Amino acid sequence: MAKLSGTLPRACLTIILLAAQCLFVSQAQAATDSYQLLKKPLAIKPFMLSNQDGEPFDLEALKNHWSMIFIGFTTCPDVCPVTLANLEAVRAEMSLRVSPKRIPRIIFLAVDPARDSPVLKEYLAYFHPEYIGLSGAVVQIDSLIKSLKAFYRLDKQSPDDVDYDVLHTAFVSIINPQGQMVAKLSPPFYPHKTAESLNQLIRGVKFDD
Amino acid sequence: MIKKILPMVISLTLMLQALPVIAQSKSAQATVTNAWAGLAPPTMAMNAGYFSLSNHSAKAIALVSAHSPAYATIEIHESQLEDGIASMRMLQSLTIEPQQQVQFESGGLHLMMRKPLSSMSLGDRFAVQLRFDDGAAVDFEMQVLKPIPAASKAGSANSHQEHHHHHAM
Repeated sequence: MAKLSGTLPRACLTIILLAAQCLFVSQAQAATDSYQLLKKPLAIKPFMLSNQDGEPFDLEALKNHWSMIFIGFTTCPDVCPVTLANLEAVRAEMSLRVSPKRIPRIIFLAVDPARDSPVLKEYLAYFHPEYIGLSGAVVQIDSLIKSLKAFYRLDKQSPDDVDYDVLHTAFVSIINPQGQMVAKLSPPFYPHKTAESLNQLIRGVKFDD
Repeated sequence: MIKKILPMVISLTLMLQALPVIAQSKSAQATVTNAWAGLAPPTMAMNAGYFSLSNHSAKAIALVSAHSPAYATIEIHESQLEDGIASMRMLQSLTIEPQQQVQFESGGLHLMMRKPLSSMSLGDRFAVQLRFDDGAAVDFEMQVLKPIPAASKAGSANSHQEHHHHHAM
């Protein structure tokens, strides 16, 4: 009897531990999934930035298109070029299944205006002339960043540091033609898988989240 | 026609791959393969360099610096992704354990090459030297290539298929 009472709680404990482990694993898998549909669309507050040609770009300009907003900076030689290449590959994959006007535009939100503004046009033209680069006043950049629930920080080691790094959230925001954020993509942005998810989203297929 | 050329291409490729290995001296400890740098806009004050670095010796070696006539300064950097935040850190040295290979690839370890001394086009090659804590050095060429997208779930995202072996002196 004493033995039984010892075994039973132990068995229960094992089951609880296993269940906890399953829960943890499924959560970990969800966290590493590269595509995440938001529970409800996120409204973006009005903002006023400029594209790489110096033309105004505001909330209205975000509407009537699907867009992928990627946060970066022009002095980013490692991650930014390959992310742009990945997003371009996503567009190429999508072009097989979705009409051209429904393929999301690539918007590079450059968050380091002091270093970005002078070179943004040439930087983006080098990768793809159709990319939209946004820059402008810090307060306007911060407003859009806040709407996207994103984050960045210029990591200056001293006031006159010119080789500083820029920390930023790595996710890409998916914006619908109503100008709302509806989903996000996380690295490593595998083009085929990402294109499949976006095709489904854009064709209006319902998701279980 | 293709049937005739293909074996020639294959044997030529094998020869080219084998040659530097034959030329490798006994003192060689480290080799660099698949070295490339991203095609960067001329106004960009820096670029990233990638390669595979192998330690063939029985003891650990530490990479302490990198140099090139094509850039004013080169640092060893590592991009990181922690809690969804992308950042970069500089390494003073990088230890490669015996018989191990370390990948310098997009989103991870890379050479941060600052202030290009000439403008470079797609396909251009430039010399790079890695120096180690024991005084050894490895010379190799880095080729300017387009960044390529992450290919598959399996990783090895940026493996430009090119095999040029180089050896330590």
